[in-house]
This record gives sequence, structure tokens and C-alpha cells, in this order.
Amino acid sequence: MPKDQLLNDNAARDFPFLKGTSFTPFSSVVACGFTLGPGSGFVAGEHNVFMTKVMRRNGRLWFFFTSDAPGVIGKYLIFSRSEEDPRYTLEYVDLVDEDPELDSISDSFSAVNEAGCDFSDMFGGFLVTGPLGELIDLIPDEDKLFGLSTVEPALLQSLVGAYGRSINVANSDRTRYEPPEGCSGVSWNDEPQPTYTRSTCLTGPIVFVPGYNSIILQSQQENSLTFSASVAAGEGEPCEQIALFEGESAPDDSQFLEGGPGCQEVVRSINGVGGPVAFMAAGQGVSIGFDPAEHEISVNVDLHNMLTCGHEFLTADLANDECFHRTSVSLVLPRFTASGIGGHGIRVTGTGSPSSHNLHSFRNW
Amino acid sequence: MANTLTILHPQWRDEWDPTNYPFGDWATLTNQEGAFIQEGTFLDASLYPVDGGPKLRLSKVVVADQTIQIFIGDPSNDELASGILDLLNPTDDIELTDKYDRAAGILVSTVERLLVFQTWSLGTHEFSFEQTGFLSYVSLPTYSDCFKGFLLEDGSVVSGDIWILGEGGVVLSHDTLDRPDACPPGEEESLSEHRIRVDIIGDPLSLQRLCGDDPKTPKFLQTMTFRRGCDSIVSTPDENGEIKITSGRSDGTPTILRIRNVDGKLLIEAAGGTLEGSS
Repeated sequence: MPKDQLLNDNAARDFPFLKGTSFTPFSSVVACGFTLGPGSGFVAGEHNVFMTKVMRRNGRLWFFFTSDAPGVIGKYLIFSRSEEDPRYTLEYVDLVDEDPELDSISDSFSAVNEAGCDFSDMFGGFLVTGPLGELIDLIPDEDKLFGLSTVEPALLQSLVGAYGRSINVANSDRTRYEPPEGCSGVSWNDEPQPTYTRSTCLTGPIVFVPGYNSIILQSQQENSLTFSASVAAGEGEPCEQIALFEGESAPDDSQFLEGGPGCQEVVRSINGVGGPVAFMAAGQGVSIGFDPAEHEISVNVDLHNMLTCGHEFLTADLANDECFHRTSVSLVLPRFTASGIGGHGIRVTGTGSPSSHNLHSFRNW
Repeated sequence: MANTLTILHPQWRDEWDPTNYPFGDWATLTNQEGAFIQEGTFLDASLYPVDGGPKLRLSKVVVADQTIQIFIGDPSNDELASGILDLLNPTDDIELTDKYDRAAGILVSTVERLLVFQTWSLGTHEFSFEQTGFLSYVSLPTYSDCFKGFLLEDGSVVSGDIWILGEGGVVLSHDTLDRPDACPPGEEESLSEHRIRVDIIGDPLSLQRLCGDDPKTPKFLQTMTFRRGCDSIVSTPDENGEIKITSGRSDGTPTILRIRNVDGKLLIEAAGGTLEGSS
């Protein structure tokens, strides 16, 4: 069908709007089409595009279109015409953020998506107007006409899911140390967040780089990328912890970004007797008492029922005070823990550098 | 001569109702089995399947007890996209999506017109381009040579504004590298590439996370305080988490006290004879 014949026909019927929904003369709008881009949330058959308002001021006409798709609700495509424009004038426009009044309308508009990226493909379209005389007669200067003309659904194209528009990079929060019940909390230097955004709105060439313990394989044949983990792969094993975001630091009471004590900061064994529960037994001549409430273990070398040549063992310090031979410990030792996440051979090794803690030997009991 | 009433400017859908539209004029609308799609069954269409080529057609109609599934195809793929008519809850329009649930178009009709498919026999009814080819007017172009998204192992596709999230011991970072060498000769604008680094470092407290919302952090033993009289010494573990307790005297003379690891227990005892043993 010749283009002008189609437009001539449309000037005498509702199309491009659904039958019975036009609130302007049929000749005003004779063709249009719209694309709804990524982020619009448009679903064909469920959402529509509407013309909602026509304004007239200073020799120009303004046509407002919007949609009930969740990503563009309250945002508009605005087409403008001079009253002197010839019939079948064609114009393409992109999204306007909000419903502007005439004074705020400018030539350049932008739309910002969830990630703060400035893209113009959220909502766009074209409009062809016919003879505008009837419309000008209908709307006095400085006035508006409101309605709800529904655009034929076959004039809409949804680009939701049709292409990748941008790459955004973030990290979930690390598992943070939870103090035991009854203990004071960790003094984080940065308020923990569920996620930490590293970069947004990346477009153009993207390169994935294998870092610590990381393998990235690219198959040209399958057009695929495979990410896997292997100890010491990629950049090898890290010598220090990796920050989730720039400036991340360990809390003051820990050397680790996730907080909590290090392996060398907890007692894991006593004389080779390991945890999580260490057993102490009293042999001959010794008795052991417990006071769980005070976390106390009392070791008394009383030599009961033993042959002795004198009383010096028992009497040497007895006169000092009631603090005699008391040792204070708690009963639970930590497990020797090595664990990983992901099932790809990730090995979580002990962190922190060895220190020269005192090796205590207690003599002269 | 009978008078006939002709509407000079019929409405859009009324104009095309008695025609093949949105199928081509050449389309027979009948397949070899005799399945016939009556003119006006579909009033309009907008087809834009990702990777769709020319010569789009209605390729298959699969009739089941409670659903009618309509497929759109091209010469290389009979199942570019499909839409479902739920006979228990029919709608006027059929939304088309591809196998990755990406929007692929719409078939415009009415419930009354679509319910004609109920009269078809159960099973699959296939059509060729000559039988049900669509007009190019209703086929909209889509992006072809561009990055469309990531196809994941579970069969889903992520596209649009894609978030890549590191978690569970995987940390992502980003920097930009200028690549002047990558510019085509004669082009002054430098090319920058975005580098996303993947560090896999593990999650030291993963067991705590796996415990859910109510992890029970044990109270680790961090020091041992030894008291003798009113003197006390606070001892911390060595680099192996070990605290050693030994017996002895400061002047080196022997002592009867013994502290030993016996069968995984710390045994503290005094050496010597017992009263029972001497009697």
C-alpha cells in the first residue's frame, strides 16, 4: 500500500489508536510506533502505550505519550509540531523523565536507569501527524486537551531482554564475625551493607581477568566463558585479604576484614590435647575441682593417699592465701577448621602471619 | 441491482478482518493435513524474535487439552518464539516469547476468534512459509550483531543492565585500561577496555553463614590465666594455638609432679608410692 494512501486512510479513523479511544480528531495523528527498551518492564499484551495530553502554546502543539509499563510509569515521550508544519510530518523522540510543563521542555532529554546509567533506549518512538487544522480549532491557545488514546498493540516493540546494555559489578558482603552471645559487638569501621557496588554502566570492550586462585577459559567455538577455581591458579594465592570495596579496613579489635579472632589468637590445644573439648584428669596425689560459673579449674596437688617423707609439698605456700593453686580457663577449644565454598576446590587457608607468642612453661608448682 | 453499503474509511481492524492480513496474500492458510486458519483469526501482529531471520511464518500450532501453543519460525528455526492460549483463561492477544523468555512479539486477535483452535484435533499442526508466511510489514528488525546477554548453565539468559555479583568468597573488582594499540589506523580516539578481575579467595566464616540467620558463635578460649598464690600469669597460645604446661622447679631440681598427654587427656599426677602399695 502506498504510504500516503495509508496515511490518508488513517486520517479518517482511529488508527494508530484502538477503535473508539481517540480524543483528538482522527486526522491529528496518522501513524506512530514505539520501542520499549531494557528496564521498561514492558510485557506485550499486558501493557500499553497511551496518548494522554495535547497542549497548544505560542504556535506549537505538543503530544504527550506514556505507558503503564512499570519502568516508564510517569515518564513521557513528547512530540512537538509547529502549527504551520505540513501534513505527515515525522518526528522521532526519546524518553522524558517526568511530565514537564511547556516551560521546562528542552531539546535534549535523558533517562536514568536503576544503576544510574544515562541511556536513551528506555522508551522511544516516532509520530506522524496529519493535517492539524481540526486540532487547532479544538484547542484554544494556552490550553490542553486530556484523554487516553490507546496505541494499537502491534505498533509496539518490546526490547526487554533483546540485548545486553551495560555491565555492572558489585560484591555481596562477606560473612562477618558474629560475637558470641553476651559478648560486645564488633566495631566496624564501615557500616556493613548487603552489597557493595564497584562499577556501573560499563559498555564497550569487557575483559575478564583471572585473579587469585582463578581460572577463566574462553571458547571461541562455543562462544563461552568458563570460570573455575584452583589453588594458586591465576595470580596465585593472596598474601593478604582482598577488600570488597575501596578503603575497606579491618575492625579495630581484629586483624581480619571479617572480624573475629585469628587461629593463633585462640587456644586450640593444651600439651597436644586438642579441642573442641579438652579433657583433664587427676592422677594419684592430685585432685581437680571445677567452678563453671567462674570458669575456674582448681588443681590441687594434695598427695592424698601417698607416701611422703615430709610436709614441704603441702605447707610451702599454704599460708599465703586462698589463691593457692588455682587455674582459670574455659572449657571449650576451637575446632581445627578448614572450609570452602563453591565446590570448586577452593581452599580457605589460615590467614595472618605467624607471631612469636610466648611459649609458656610453668615450673615450680 | 442490489444496493451495497460501503464504508469509505473502515477502522483498521475492520479493514483487514476479511483478508489474509497479517499473513501474506500468497498464504494458503491451509496445511497438508487440511488444518485451516480462517481469515480474520488474527487481526494484526508484531514480530521481533531475537535472531529471527526473513520469511517469518506461523510454523506450528500445538493443540493440547487446555492450551493452544502457537509457534513462530523462520527457514532455519521452527521454534523462534511461541505464545500460549490458555483455554481456561483466554485473552485477546497472544504474547510471544522465545525459549529464554525474551519478548518476541504479539499476535492480535480476540478470544472468540482464537477459540476456533479448539475445534482442531489434539497434536501438532505444522505449516510452511507458503501456507502461513507473515507479511514483512509485521516483522520488525532487532539488533543482530551485538552482545545480547549471558546464557547461564541453568538455561536462563541475563540481559539488559547486567549485574555481576561476587559472593561466597569470590571478589570482583574493575579497572579501565587504555588500549591505543587497539585503535584502527587513522582513528585518534583511544579505545578503553574494562577489566573485571575475578579473585577467588574463599569465605573464612562460611560455616557461620551456612548456619543461617541464627549462627551460634562459640566462645573461643583465647587466654589461660595461671595463678599461684596471688600471682597470676596470663598466657596466650603460640602460633599453633598451643599452650604447654610442664612441671619442674625454677632451680632445676626434680619434682614429683607429672603432666602428660595420656590417650588424649591431660593427666596431672604426682609420682611416688601410695599408702596402699606400701602396706
